[in-house]
Amino acid sequence: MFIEEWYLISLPVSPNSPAMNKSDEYMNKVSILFELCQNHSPHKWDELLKVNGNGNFRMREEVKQLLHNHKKAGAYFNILRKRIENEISLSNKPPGFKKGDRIDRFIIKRIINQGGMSEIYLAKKAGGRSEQLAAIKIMKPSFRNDTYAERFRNEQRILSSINHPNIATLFDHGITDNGYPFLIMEYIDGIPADRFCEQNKLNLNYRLKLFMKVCQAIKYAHNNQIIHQDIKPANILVTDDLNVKVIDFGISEIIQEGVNQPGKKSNFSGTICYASPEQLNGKQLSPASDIYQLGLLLYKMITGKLPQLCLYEDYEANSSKVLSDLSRLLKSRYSKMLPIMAGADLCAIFNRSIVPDIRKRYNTVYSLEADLKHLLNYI
Amino acid sequence: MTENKEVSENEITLYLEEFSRGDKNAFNKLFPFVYRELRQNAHNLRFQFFNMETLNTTAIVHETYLKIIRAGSATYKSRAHFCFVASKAMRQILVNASIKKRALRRGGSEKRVSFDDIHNSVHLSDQTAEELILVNDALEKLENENSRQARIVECRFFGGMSVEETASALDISPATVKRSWNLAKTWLYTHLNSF
Ligand SMILES: Nc1ncnc2c1ncn2[C@@H]1O[C@H](COP(=O)(O)OP(=O)(O)OP(=O)(O)O)[C@@H](O)[C@H]1O
Repeated sequence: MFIEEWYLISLPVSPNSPAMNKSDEYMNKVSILFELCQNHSPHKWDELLKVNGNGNFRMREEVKQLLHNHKKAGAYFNILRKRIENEISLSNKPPGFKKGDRIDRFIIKRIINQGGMSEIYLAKKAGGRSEQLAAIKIMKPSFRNDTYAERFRNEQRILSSINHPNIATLFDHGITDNGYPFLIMEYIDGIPADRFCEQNKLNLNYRLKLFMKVCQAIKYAHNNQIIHQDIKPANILVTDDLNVKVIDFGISEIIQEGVNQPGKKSNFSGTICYASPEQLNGKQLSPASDIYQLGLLLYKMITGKLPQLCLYEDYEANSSKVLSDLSRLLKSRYSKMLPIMAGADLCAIFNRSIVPDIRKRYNTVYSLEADLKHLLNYI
Repeated sequence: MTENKEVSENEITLYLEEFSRGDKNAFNKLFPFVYRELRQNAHNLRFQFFNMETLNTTAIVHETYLKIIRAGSATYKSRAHFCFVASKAMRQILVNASIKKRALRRGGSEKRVSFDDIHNSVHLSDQTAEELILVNDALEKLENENSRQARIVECRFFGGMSVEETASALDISPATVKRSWNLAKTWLYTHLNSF
């Protein structure tokens, strides 16, 4: 029997009734200006908007922002469509393993989650005296191709070379009888960092302390020449006893000191919302790219939102708006406990993490941490 | 499947015609039916498509159309209208699957909405589900600002309809579709994280 779900979204009107909305006229003007500018090169935009913007400042600013976002918007919807296609066709196969199945010395208890290219199971060690748990990450059958196999090997190589309390430990790896690579990892009974902060309504102090633990993990990775490249809340798990673990080193890279790799562009495959400008532009990456992602993570962990900034091509021209947004959000959330200086300091720290010009960004996680420590001393 | 086919092919054709003349009622009759057929088809097709090629929403819409309206009994125009209804239904299927995914992930069935087996027909990753919810929120906002642009987004993005099909379904010129789609997606992207 089918249960009706279609009432969930308000029903629309027929395609041909014009049904003018109250602000249709405004949008019409915006669209005319938008088009006008698109037919000219960017350096003419300001002039065009001034002449044709009817002195409407808000409209001019809106059009400017749209013009800046235009290319990224196209890319965003293309990628999202591709992802939907992949997921509705290939990856929605039922999970490959059931309760009781055996992988290596482990017995599957249940599936934890499905990532883009893998399934993650909770498993327990067979015949162990005490119950020893592990998370097993195993490649989805539909992703058995060289690119993804390489991503798996890459993650295995990187995880086996490092060991840090804030990074999920790799116990073992292997290939199943029918040829699927798997990783056996420490099981983390946690939830993504941003959700953890919101659900537990943590105060600013706690949030910053959790964030500092992420910094420690990433600092450690950088010291080992590893750039994570996919730092985002979903890849930072926090447990009830406030343990922080960074996961998913699938697209991480080992930088070879002094080796300039000409022509080697990063082929970005992470989350667009958290991508650094270098990643979006396919440039060669440095640890500064992780620092950018850390900046966004910080923002999300303390405000529960993402800043509008990833939408601005020209961050530096718009930074004052982004920062005043942050400052306002902080005030409304933490006003009672927050010393005036703390808001300003946090804005400055955030700004220095995400400024597009790498030379102006923190050049090490260490310096980002140092500023946060200083801040934590007086809040 | 046949048990749900309480609407005959003739009726569908009739509704499509009434709908193309602007009859809202016809839409309300078509929608739930198209929704169910589409979802069932998404479920069946994925096995057929597995490992051969990518199954996309365009394919689901078209296969469903062929299944309901057999052999050339309808015009290009009414086909476009079918696709329009189907695009809306597809939006809803994807968004409902995303909401379901979120509810499951947050553990607990705090909402008393029954989703039955939607996650069996459409299985999305957490990330895609969250992004679809954001896009849908922004699209609801766009609906208030400019309903025509929102419809174009439904056709192009959710239904995977071509510029020509969209133009025909909405009775506007292909050039307008192109221009509006261009603006609409930029507008959506710009507003993705702002509410
Ligand atoms: N060690 C672990 N313990 C508990 N849960 C885990 C563990 N590793 C991963 N998960 C869960 O599985 C999800 C997907 O994991 P991961 O990001 O490593 O997979 P992926 O296939 O690389 O994902 P994507 O390609 O979408 O980034 C995580 O978001 C998390 O919920």
